[in-house]
Amino acid sequence: MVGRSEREAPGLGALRHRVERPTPWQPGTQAMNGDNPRRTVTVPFPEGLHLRVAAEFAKRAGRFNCDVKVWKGTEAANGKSSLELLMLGATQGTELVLETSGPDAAAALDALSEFLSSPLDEANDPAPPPKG
Amino acid sequence: MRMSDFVVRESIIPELAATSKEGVIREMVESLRAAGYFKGGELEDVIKAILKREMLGSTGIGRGVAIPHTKHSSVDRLIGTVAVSRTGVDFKSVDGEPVFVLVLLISPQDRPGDHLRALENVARCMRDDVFVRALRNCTTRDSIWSLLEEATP
Repeated sequence: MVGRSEREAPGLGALRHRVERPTPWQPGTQAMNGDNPRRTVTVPFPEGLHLRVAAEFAKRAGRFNCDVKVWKGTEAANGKSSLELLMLGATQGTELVLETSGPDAAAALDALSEFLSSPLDEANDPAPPPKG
Repeated sequence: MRMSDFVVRESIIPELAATSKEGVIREMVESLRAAGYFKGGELEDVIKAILKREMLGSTGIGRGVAIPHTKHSSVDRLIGTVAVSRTGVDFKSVDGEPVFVLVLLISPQDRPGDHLRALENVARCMRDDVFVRALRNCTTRDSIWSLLEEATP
């Protein structure tokens, strides 16, 4: 009963509009946005930028006042959103460009690129795994 | 990859009975077992592994959504299930808000690429407020399934 299912799930039509892609960053347009610091990092984690890394990155990014963007090619994620970071689907070896803009942009870039470059994982665990 | 590629249709739960974090995880894994995906002994082991992962940090990613997951040798391909809670579950989410939509994933030990693609796919769907709202409004397994099939990231 397709018709019935659709009535039960309002808004199906609106799903046609997909997540909007941010305007691609072009090297030539960076002057428009000022000289935001950027740094390229290569994803070191064997399992890629998985949920725990994304959540921890977003948490750390959230401590800064500046905007944080993470670019994979022409696609950008808000670095303070673990959901958007997951959407990048960045596997091990993927090159990502971190871009920060705002008052503490330089410090954020240092801290976040270091986090994303270190082959973590256990060192950054907030709690040890349970026994057994 | 779409959500309907890895979600086991018969295991979808439109209305969770459990209200605690451990309770809903258990209910979802049991639903996958009922759909024929684990043997009895593996069930407890899978639940334990998912809870262990939660201790490293909640998979409640905000927006009322959680993605509890684990790797386990009992599956030979990535499988998942979707559940909706009417009351909301305290999942210790990053934003402190209760969780209403859960996507539980179990991946084989050696397929990190599939797991990452599934996460990417779930994230793309959940980023869409209309999708999350529609999912929360579903009252039947069939309507959730149609929604998952419609959602093409």
